[in-house]
Amino acid sequence: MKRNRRLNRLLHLLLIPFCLIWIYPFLWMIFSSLKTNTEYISSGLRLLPQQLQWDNYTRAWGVGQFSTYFQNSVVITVGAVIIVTLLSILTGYALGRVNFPGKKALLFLFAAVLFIPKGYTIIPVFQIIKQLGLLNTIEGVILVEASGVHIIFILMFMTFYRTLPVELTEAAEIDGAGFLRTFLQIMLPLSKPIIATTAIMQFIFTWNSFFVPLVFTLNKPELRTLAVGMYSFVGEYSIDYTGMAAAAVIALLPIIIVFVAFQKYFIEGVSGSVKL
Amino acid sequence: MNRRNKSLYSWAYLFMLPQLLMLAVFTIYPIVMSYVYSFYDWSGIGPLQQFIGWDNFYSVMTDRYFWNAYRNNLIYIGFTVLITLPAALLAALLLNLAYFKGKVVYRTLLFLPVVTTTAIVGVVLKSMFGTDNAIVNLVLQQFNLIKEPIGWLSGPYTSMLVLIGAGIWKVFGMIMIYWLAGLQSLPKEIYEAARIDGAGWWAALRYITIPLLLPVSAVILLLTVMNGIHVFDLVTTLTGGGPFFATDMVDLYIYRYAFGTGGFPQQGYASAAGIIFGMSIFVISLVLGAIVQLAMRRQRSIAIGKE
Amino acid sequence: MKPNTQSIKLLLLSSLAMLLLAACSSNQSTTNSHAANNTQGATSSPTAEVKQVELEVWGRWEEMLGQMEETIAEFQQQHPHIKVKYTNVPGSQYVAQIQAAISGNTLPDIIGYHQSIPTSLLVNLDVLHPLDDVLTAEQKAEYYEGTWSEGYTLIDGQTYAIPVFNPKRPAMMLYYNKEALHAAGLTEDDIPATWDELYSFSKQVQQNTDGKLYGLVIGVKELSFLSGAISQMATAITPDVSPTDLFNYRTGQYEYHAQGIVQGLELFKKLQDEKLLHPSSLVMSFREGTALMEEGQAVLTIDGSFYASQLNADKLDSFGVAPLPTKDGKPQYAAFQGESRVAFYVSKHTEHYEETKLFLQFIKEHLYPKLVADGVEYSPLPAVNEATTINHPVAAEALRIQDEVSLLIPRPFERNADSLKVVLETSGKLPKTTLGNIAEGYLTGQIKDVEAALLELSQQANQVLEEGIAKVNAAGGSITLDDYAFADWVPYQPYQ
Repeated sequence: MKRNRRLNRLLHLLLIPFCLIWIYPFLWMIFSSLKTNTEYISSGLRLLPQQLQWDNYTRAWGVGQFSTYFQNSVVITVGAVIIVTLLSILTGYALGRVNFPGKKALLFLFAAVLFIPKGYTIIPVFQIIKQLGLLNTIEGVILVEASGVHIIFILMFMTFYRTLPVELTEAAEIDGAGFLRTFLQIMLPLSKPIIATTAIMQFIFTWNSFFVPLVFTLNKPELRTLAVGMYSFVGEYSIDYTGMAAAAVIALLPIIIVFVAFQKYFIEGVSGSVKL
Repeated sequence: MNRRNKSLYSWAYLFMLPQLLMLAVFTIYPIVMSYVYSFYDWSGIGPLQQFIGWDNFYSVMTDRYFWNAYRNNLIYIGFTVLITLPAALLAALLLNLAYFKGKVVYRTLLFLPVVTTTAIVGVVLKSMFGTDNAIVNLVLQQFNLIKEPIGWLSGPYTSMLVLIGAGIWKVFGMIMIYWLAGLQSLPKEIYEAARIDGAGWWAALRYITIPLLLPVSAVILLLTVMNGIHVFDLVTTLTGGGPFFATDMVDLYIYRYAFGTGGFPQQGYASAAGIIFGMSIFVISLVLGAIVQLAMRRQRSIAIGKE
Repeated sequence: MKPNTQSIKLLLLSSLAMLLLAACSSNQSTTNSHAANNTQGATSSPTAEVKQVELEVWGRWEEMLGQMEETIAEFQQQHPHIKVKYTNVPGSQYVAQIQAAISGNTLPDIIGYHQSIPTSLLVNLDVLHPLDDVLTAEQKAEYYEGTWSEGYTLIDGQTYAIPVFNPKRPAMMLYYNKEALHAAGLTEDDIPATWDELYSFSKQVQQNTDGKLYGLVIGVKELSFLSGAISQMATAITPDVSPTDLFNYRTGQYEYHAQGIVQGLELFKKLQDEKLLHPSSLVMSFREGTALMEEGQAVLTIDGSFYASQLNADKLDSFGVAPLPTKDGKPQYAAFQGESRVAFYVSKHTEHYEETKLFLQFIKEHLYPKLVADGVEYSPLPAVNEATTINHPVAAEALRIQDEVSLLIPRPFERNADSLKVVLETSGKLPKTTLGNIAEGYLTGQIKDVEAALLELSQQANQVLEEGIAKVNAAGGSITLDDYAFADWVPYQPYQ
């Protein structure tokens, strides 16, 4: 026991400074966002600002249009999360509970899609969205963000539903419940943890997505998400360093909060992808 | 086939229909079309008219800058994999110790970079690694580690170094969780038995943990390699592929041709580059998979031989 | 794993709240703008139902943003039913944005010109509205001679572009910070006119300030002016090579590897190697570089004439401008081909052509004088330029220097209109590597043999040109490489 406590202390001694350095970029970002531009340049190593400059946030939020970007990020992320979760549940349920003809072939197709060299598929996707008349719309961005097969999610739901005992459905069927009612009333509520994992993982994917919104909002600056907005902010106001830091905080804070609050689900989802 | 089954099947198909539609429209069709485009001289605007056979492929294969981007990509993947895999395993082993308190806090902190937006982190890191009056140089000068500021992002090697460092920092938590998942799935009984046999922590690691982790490590290796291919966000915002293409990656190379800023795009050419890159990655992962399998078989035969 | 209903509910709730928040704010903004429109309409003409029209305009000239906004405000006052939404798109994103808009069929009503997307290309894609009825023949005659030239403003005799700036632009020049200059114990007489002077000047600044200040700063990252400066200075050594496209108009060949270019690169390499160039130069964009000069961390920077009007207005006295130094102090030139590089097009699919016409005519009357008065740029109307005094001391000098060094060079499109088709064929296929890239690679030490690298670029560019010509001829055109060679041209004399 004593040895363990000593080891414990040693580990803390090692890990605390390491983790401080590890998250230093975030600390630096937060403190820089509260300095004036002059102080930013002249403060050298001093981390703490002399006086809190909240107007960096006002500037980023207003002039830098981060209020619009924030709104876009929220709408796109929530939209994509709903679509992806819904589709994965449905597919996972069908695969997990029904032995329909062609199931093996379908699973093989999913696996094949994962491994086929994809080329540069964003170009045809761009053309499809254009033909659907969704180019330069937020719906178009949501659709592309939600597109693609999320094999991990589907497999997670599939294994989950498969492990549920057959008696559950049989009992429901004896009560006269059909396929849909059994699913909605009995199976769906049971899968809440998987739903949470899927939703949170997709939330983080979409919120952080850069390439798709970059390509699909090229000529509609008002549809930019936070990540794309940040990139163009740097191009437009390259000398407003503290405004940039404030913008970065605005963009990163929500995701950090979501992660810290729900980290259990996210970490489960990530480990799930190895176990499967 | 009875009626119950029939209705069951139609429900199943109905449930999968939306996902299958998405799959057909947004995954399969684009894959097919990107192969088609690659045989045309096509800017991406107007109809597909000028069929040029294998010309695009030939041009990509003979372009020095493509191979430069390719080599950079391999270097980036190689270093991130070689450093991250063992380091993250070590972290996972520490955070898996039963008696270690505060695991969750450390796990959260180490994982934090994974969830933050790469494009934004890239911009922040770019400011930190500036040349004059930037925090990293100031700290190093304070501790007298360097005499004068280093141009981190203005030197070809240093900018690759920063990029690899940032890439490791960004992916480390993810790999660590992979390892943790692998560790936690190991049967506890073996360790009990080993302890009774008098094996120490080190021996258990050497003769039980690592051999048992091998199958998982193959998966982790593949996932890490895949992760290293998609570096667009980080490179675009941190180095922009510079200085002078020193950190150019295939993703960026293709983007320049597909949505370029100098003149009209060449989407046929970009598609060809994408296919060549995709194919070669496919081959590389096949080879990697084969090597891992071979290693596992050898490990197994050694283990059997020992018994 | 136990279903943790508490946190799921929390998640669902919070995402719902975020969604609602987003929806509400977007609703709010639309209702607000409706309300604004209504009141506007009400004050102007309560009975006559004038339909509100919104014009969308994309430009990329940061330097005229203020003047443009003023003009738009005046325009909206005169035409209350028209609202003009002007978007200034950053130069680095402009081409990609236009391309996306073309392929998505969502071009704004009015679009600014960009040299990577020439008029002929846009007309070929059938996305432009002809503008023959915007200006009368008399009005057109007021413009700078050569404004209405085939291939740029005109295609097949039809007008497609209305110029905003004078065609003589942009010229690169040297800006300096007088406070930093004095801090280094130097005077304006020390501002370098030759390369040797630039070298010794940089050394002196560093020595006199204990290495605190630098002689020169210039951001070389994307959108760098370094290549523009080098190619303009090169004309003092190899005048046959045009600084705009590094094309030798006497031989009709691309000549990236001209001696002037090579020596210019060597000059900056020497400054960089001896740590005389501000160390951040290699990681900054031009805008960050000029900001360092304004802050006084470096005495000199290089920028276009348009930069003068962007200088910190409160401290104008502390800035000055001078021509770029050349190798032996010989003259240099900035090339122009008569076409205006700042102009507006109208989208073919505009639903408000009449209103765009009104706006373009309004620009001619109201924006031009503002541009000149504020020293942003000369307008395309010589009469306006003469009648207006520039009330900005630095800009006045910058525009004077620009006027002095601008030179009309030969124009292949005047000689053979098929050259415009060649432009279409070669667009996007010329080497993606630019002189700016080469300069960066050379300064960072990645390119050892800069002459060979430049020669390779010349060869690639010439091959693209030849292939383009062959394609045009195969499609029934008639053009040869000779159409690009102007052996009778004497550099430093305007080619008529």
